[in-house]
Amino acid sequence: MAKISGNFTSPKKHRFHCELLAAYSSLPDEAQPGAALVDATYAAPDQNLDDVIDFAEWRDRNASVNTTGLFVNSLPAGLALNERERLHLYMHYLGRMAGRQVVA
Amino acid sequence: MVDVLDPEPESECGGADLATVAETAISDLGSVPAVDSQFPLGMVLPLIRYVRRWLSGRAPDAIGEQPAVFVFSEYPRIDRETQKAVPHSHLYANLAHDIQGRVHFSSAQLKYASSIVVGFDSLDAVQADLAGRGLIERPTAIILPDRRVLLWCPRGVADEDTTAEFEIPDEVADVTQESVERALRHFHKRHAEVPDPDLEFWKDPGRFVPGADLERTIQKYLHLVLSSWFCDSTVIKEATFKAGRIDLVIYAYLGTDAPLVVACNLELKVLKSKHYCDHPPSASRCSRAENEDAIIKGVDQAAETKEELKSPVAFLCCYDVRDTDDESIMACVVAAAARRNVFCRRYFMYNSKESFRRAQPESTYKETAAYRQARRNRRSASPSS
Repeated sequence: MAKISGNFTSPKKHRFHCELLAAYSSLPDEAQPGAALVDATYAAPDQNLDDVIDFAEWRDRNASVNTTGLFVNSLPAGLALNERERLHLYMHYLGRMAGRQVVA
Repeated sequence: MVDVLDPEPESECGGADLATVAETAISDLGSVPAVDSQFPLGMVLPLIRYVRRWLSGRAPDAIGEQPAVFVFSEYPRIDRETQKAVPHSHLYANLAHDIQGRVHFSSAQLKYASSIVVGFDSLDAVQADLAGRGLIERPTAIILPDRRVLLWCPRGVADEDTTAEFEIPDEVADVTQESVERALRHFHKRHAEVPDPDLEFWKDPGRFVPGADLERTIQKYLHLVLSSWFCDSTVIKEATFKAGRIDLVIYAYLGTDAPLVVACNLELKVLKSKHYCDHPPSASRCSRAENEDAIIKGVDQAAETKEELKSPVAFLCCYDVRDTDDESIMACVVAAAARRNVFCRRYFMYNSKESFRRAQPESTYKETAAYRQARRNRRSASPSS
């Protein structure tokens, strides 16, 4: 219990949660429910029905985090993104993907 | 905070759609909030962008004098006061809505909003209306559309000391030397020239002690101003390149399918008489040589970045919190900056409204013996001037 409360009072984690919620709340209404379903880990081709979704707890691989590292490939050479920018861009990506599925 | 990650192998990215990842990076980088979600000034930027687009769709004679009021709330749809209000879903996309003469209750990103027609004949009427609704302490933005001005009251309309004024830029400004220069002058005049207690530029202005990490604080606010000024461009702060970290880079956005193009890079430096100290009376002096060294480094950094990024325009902006407004310190880089095509600008920051007033050309203070004595004292006492 002490560990949990310690985690939740960590300023860094609190900032992360605030940013995560701010990024999620900026998605269009219709895209919000489906955003999790198009997440890179959840939608991985090797993810079978009824499998536990593993965000790098057992495997040393987190496809969602890795995807946030791809954004820089499309930006001018040398430009780096900070954690907040990658998080918001990833949420924009989920919004786009989920929005397309709604239209389809 | 900036992580330089090696790009991930695409095979490690699960079910990611790589084309959409690329499209998102190019199209949406400009709409990533400029500051942390908890930073209250960040609320203003989406509103400035919205109002600029709203104004650009209207003829000048169709814009009246009525203010538009936006009260920010985390739960704009369930406020007791808003139950009789008209709801607006995705207000940021609704340019047909007439914002004037209304009080809006809005989420920070303008996604959820509702509004009530009130009609105001003055700013006092706005204050009275919000007081009547019990909203006088809520973060509020008042738009004066005919003057293209946004008044930002982070602690509510009753707290005039913390009210900041932002200009809503005209039609999208291209990023040029002249337009960047105008934006920099605007930032200096409105936010930096005299102390604003809310902006933490000073630790102890009376002793000329700057705030902690002043360069970064200025960068944060300048980033916001440039983002609102060039709101169709992308302004990045603390970008990491081979030449090192760059304070601010402005990218022109040329469309979804076009790559982002560097339009301007800016290097920021602070010139000071005293170093920051938690206990201001103990603050140590900063020598003229230290300040000159910062300016010389700044020109080098700006020039190297300009070259690496093939940036058409490079600025070195020196924010001067010394005890004397003295341009001669920039002489050490005039030739080098001209040779390397870096525009060097110095912006003096007065330590009080009174010293600002006294420095104006028409000030009668300049005719007094006290002024002449103070000048003599400063010349003989200050090693940094």
